[in-house]
Amino acid sequence: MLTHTIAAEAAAQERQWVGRCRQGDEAALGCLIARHRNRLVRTATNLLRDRHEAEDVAQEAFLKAFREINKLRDDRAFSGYLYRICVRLCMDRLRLKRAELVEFDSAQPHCGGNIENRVVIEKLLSQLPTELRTTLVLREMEQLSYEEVAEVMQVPIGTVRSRLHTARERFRKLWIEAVGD
Amino acid sequence: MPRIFGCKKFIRLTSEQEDRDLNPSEERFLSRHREVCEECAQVARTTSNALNMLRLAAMEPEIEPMFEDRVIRKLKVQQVKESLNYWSPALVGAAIACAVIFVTLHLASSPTQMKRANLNSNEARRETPRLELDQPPVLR
Repeated sequence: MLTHTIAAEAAAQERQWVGRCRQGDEAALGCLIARHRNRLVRTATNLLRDRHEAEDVAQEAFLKAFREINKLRDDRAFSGYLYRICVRLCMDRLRLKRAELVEFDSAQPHCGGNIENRVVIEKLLSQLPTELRTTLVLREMEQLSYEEVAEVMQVPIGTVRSRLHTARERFRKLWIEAVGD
Repeated sequence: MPRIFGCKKFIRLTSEQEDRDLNPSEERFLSRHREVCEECAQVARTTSNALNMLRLAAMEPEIEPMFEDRVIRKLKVQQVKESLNYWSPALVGAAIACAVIFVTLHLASSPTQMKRANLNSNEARRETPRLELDQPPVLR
């Protein structure tokens, strides 16, 4: 009940900020950025696996969202709108990047250190197609529900389910190739 | 070991298990299949390991200070650029018009050409036109 009230208050406050942003209120802009920056940068970091690029993308997403804020019909939809822009920008960047095919030496399995694990994961993710990679990261790392992933990627839930299944299968196979069973 | 009937279903349910609670009959199917099909059991273990490692590899954001200020500054620059882009045709037109008016005024007010005869001891004098009103006009 309390959580629900807090969420409702936060949503009402955000609506106010969006309204004030439309009138060019700089303080409201700052409040909106402060509220959403962590989530945006985290998602972009996990999708792109590059902190600096992630920050650039997050900034770009804010700029795009604020520039087109007058086109937004429902003020309540701002956070979803902003998040969608960010994910789309990340996907555009991933498509532009040429996938670096990395050959792993299966005779020398990795010893599983934390940083090394990250590097391996990064290389494996880079071998997945953009749509599969994005679906997998949003679901497994960002812990979004099927509905949320579908909304962000603007595809039906059935597509999310099948993409996720394919992505997990491919990721598993790549994992076996890289580190063994 | 050759695969047995239900391997595809096992793989699908293993994936779905990550997202939802399976019903008792699905749970039973998985455990029975795992017992008889070593290959599928291995697939399930590897999937679980790989996904756990993926989740562990999630990165926490490191946001640089002044993030808000930088976004707001960029937004202002963007707005100025956009307004310049909007007004630039009008500004260019106005500049051309100003230049044309300036040149026209300059040409109109420039002194008539001076004759060498009017130059006396380095002093320039403008030749004033003489009006000969006392003489009748000559018709040609």
